[in-house]
Amino acid sequence: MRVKKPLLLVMAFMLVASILVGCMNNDSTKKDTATDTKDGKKSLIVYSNSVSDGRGDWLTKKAAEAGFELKIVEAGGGDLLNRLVSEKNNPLGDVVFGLNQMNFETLKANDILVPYEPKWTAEIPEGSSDKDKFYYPLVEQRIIMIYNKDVYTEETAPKDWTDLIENEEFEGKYHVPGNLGGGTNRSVIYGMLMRHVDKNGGLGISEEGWKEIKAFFDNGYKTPEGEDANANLASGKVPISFTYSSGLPGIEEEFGFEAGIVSPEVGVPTTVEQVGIINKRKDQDTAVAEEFINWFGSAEVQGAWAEQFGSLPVNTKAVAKASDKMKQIGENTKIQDMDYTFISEHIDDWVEKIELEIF
Amino acid sequence: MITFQDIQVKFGDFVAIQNLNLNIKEGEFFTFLGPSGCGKTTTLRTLVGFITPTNGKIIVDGEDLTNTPIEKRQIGMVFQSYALFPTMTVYENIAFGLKVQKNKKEEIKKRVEEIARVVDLTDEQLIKNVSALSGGQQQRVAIARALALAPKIIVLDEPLSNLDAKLRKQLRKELKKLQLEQGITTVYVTHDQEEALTLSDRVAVFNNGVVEHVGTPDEIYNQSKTEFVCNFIGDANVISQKIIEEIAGKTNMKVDPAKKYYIRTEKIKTKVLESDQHSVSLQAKVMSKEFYGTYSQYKYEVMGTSLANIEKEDGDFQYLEGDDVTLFINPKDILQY
Amino acid sequence: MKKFINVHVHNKIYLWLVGIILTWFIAAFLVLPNVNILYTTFFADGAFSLEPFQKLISSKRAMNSLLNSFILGITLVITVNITGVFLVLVTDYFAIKGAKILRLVYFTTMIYGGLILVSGYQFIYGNSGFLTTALVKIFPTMNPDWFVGYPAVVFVMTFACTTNHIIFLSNAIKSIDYQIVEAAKNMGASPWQILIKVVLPVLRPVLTTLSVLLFASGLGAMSAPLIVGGKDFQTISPMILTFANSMSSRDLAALLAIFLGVSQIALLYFITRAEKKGFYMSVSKVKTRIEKQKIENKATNFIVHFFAYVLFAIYVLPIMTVIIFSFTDTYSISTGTLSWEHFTLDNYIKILTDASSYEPFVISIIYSGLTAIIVVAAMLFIARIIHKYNNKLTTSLEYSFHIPWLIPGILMALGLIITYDKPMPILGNIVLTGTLSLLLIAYVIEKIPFTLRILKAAYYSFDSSLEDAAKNLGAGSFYTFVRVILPIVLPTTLAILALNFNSLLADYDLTVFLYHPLYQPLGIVIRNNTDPTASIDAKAMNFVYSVILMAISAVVIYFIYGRGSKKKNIL
Repeated sequence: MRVKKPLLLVMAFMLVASILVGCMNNDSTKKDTATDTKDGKKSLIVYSNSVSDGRGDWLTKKAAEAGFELKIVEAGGGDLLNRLVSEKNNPLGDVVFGLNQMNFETLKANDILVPYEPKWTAEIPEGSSDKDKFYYPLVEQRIIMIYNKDVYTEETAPKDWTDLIENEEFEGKYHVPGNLGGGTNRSVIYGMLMRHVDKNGGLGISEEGWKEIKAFFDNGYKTPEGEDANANLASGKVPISFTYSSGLPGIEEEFGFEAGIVSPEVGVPTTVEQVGIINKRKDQDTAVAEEFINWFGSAEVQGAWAEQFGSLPVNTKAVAKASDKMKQIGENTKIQDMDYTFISEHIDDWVEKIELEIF
Repeated sequence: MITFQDIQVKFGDFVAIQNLNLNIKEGEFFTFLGPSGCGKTTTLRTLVGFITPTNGKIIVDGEDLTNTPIEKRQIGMVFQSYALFPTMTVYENIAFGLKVQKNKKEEIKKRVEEIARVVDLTDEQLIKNVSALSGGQQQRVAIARALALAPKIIVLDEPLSNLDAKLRKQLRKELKKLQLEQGITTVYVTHDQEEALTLSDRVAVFNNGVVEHVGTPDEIYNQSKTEFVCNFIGDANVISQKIIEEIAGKTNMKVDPAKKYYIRTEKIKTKVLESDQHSVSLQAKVMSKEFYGTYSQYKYEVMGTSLANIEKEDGDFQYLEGDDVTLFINPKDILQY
Repeated sequence: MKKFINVHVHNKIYLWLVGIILTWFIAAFLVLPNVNILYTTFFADGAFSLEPFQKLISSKRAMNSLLNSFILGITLVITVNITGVFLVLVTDYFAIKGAKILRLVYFTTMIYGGLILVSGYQFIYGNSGFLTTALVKIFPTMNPDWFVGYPAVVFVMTFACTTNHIIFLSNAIKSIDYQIVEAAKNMGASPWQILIKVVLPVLRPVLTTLSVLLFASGLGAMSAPLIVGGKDFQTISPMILTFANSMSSRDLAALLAIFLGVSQIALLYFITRAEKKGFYMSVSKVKTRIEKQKIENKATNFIVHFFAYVLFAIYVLPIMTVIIFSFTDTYSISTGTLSWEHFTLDNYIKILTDASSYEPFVISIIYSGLTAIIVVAAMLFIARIIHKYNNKLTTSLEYSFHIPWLIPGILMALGLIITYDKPMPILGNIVLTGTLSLLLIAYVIEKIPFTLRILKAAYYSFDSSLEDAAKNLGAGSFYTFVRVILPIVLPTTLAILALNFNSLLADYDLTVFLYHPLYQPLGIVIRNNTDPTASIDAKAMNFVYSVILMAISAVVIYFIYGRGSKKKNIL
């Protein structure tokens, strides 16, 4: 008789669990079929790597006011790209935004996007969008080196990435990434490598370039997993780091310190967050997705977004709404001139080489 | 009642049972006796249905059971390890088969209590977990469980081998009593000759997958058909060529040099009745004595070879090592193979 | 007769059906995805390429990582066995004061592991950890980054990997026949001699198996090298994860994974061989329960007590900090400082009231629960088949079910994705990617080998004549299974159910590729929260998640071990 009790427990648990899963399943199929206009609600599944620090919640709320029911799937840039590619035969998302132009090139090559034309194309600088109309720019992120103002002054701070390598004083004082999956970390790499393009060198980079990147990693502080580079920056333990421009205000606020911005003469790498519609094949109706992008990319929403989160919008009509800090970054740093096609052709190999030979 | 007809059992290339033919009568207590690995348990498992013979038939009450599923054979079994279900109480163990048959609760209860009384299990013991019982009590549960379904036949596979000597003797008696009361056909497997001789109506002695001798305990003991049976059961002396010729010379016994001659230890005597005309006397010297309580075993040197006998410890026979004795052998007690 | 034929034919049909289903399952989920990923990585352009080999061989980092993984595996076999044996001697063999509480604390590795555990250690020994801060005050010249590299990884893993010792070894000690100890005493052996010459040899088969498992966990170590390994002690698993994440480097991931796989095959061979040699069966019919040994020598007694409580501190400190920090805000957590003003219950309140915070728990509990139940139910059945029909077919079945052991989880996940991201006839043209079932399937596959091994052992541990007895009493196979066999293996079944459940609750490696984007499991959320870009109190939330996870695991373990510890359980 005593045996029966646990058995019953297990069975009960099984029952409850299967019912719950049944519900979950129903839920998802409902959502799948109801992606479009039902009950007057226009629901969309949006994939993004650019919704952290409350941006996702804000977007969901604002979109609801505009009549969209958003379900945001958040993941890091690398994970998001992997996921989109692996789901290409059974995509769940309707819209993806936040990945950079190189990632969108990969998506395009894998037939994951549908071409379209938003209403606001006239408001973005000419030539800034994909000529095949698969994706459009939203927000520009400059990748900037920052330092803790309590530790360095403008004079004592490094002037360029190369300073970190050449000047012994900075040894162990700057953060280097431990993994190169994300866009920000990668742009630091290509920002340095692209200064040494050499068609005859290994993977298109001269020997000197590789020496430099090796020295960069060897002399830096490789922040281990579980440790926070920004916390180290704030505490002065590792007083030099880098970030994407719109991340800066958040870091300063969270850790309560002031960061100085380094503006190398050669310029800073920039990545542009793009938006596109996911190719769902089977008789897809992209009307709601297009409507959402029309709304999201508009000067009004981008302006509000910029105001709220300190981003630097691409939409020329929204730039005015950007915070002073962002404007300042925009003015004080210049964009490094780089061949992005060359980068997207080589970046994976560079990363692999660094992973294998330098880390 | 039970007939084994030309039964053969093979495991791969190994022949476990070779052409076995046996008849067991209704109500009989029949024992399979033999050393381990002789095929007795295999034969038993073939009867119960755990093993399908590669050849031959098993007929019970005129019905061919060779391919009948185990549960349809109505044969109760008691296992060597008892195989009591450890997660159940004594009651649940005994009631198991009755529950399988979907009997009514009250009927099950009635039957379990009835059987428990037969094997002397108390009501308190019935609600205990089987692991809380002693070995002897577990044995009773195993028997009760096998009897609960009122089988036509009950088979017991070395049921007493896990018990101590005293308990073994006691349970042996109870088992025999039980069998007589219930009148149930019983097949019993053992390697213990004493068990076989005391319990059985008839005994089959197994060796290397073959039945060497079937008979009553008296027959297999006193008229062992084969050398193996003679050696396996009781204690026997090999009679050396010299002695057998000496005996032959004194009687009209014919000696075949190709044969071997045996005599059981208790058949060599130190005293014979005066009327005894047949016994031959041999001069012997006492070599050693082993004391067993009710009797002692003596070893003698006879014509350069050795013989052993046993003597009742009644105080009459008290020789010491080195003493000379006269031994008597009656030629009719000599077994030859 | 007719009836018999019917039964026989039914039985045959049933076996055929089972065979077909199993063949399909093995082909579809164990063989095809894995072959597929190997094929696509090494025959990317239609021809076999040796390039990945060259890349890896010429990479100093890769070669060092391989070497390090091996060194770690070997080191752990030594250090964990020493620690594990000591722990078990303290809890079950020697009479130690406070053994009960010690035992409870030594058990804590069962309820937390991975990232959470290593973070806990960081809070004590890391550069801003309590111990480090205290030591730096005493020795100002000391390097606060001392807890890094090989010694740190070995330290963390030595204490984290004793779970199996606590489970298996303590059971083995408990089942020693005390009479052999008494016999040795009677022959004049000293306590030390008894321990070394009598007790430990009995434990040797268990220790052999445990050593093999330890070597495997050292080889595949992930969290500890990632967090405390530093620059000089990198191992292969984190590398595999990195390469698997980059589409163009997956061939390297696959190659490294194959190396792990080959090592696992070798290990599997050793385990099977060790098992064939057999565990020592106690030869005595009348076993006496082992009695705790008092250490007569006062100095030795003191030393053993001392180390028992040092271990107690090592185990209890990280878990205490995790619990304490779960009640603090981000500032305290990121700086590792404690003060009253930073104590808060906000994190708990948020998790219990905010749907987006507790949803991951619900999702993970459902996934883990379903997986545990499905895999245990299926393996109960399959282990039974293997136990019942011991032939070449079942042997190959058993080996097939060990495939998931040979393929690291990450690679298996990728295999499933690249195979079932398009309609495949073998699955009835159902596309699995983007469905809820994909993760469930992967979880189930992942848990098959361990579950099968344990349940098989459970089946073999009982007297086979019980089955005969049930049959003899007229019970059919099913009835016998449900009424006789299942109750016997039930304690083990429940234990493995619990272990499976606990181990999947916060899984990340396998989950990251496969989860349904709208239903994020806990592991993903926890990992995302550790990302530097994560929201302000995400890190604080992680501690709360950790504590709740521990609580759930502890409850589960309690239900299995706490109450019915008297029941026979091979785990």
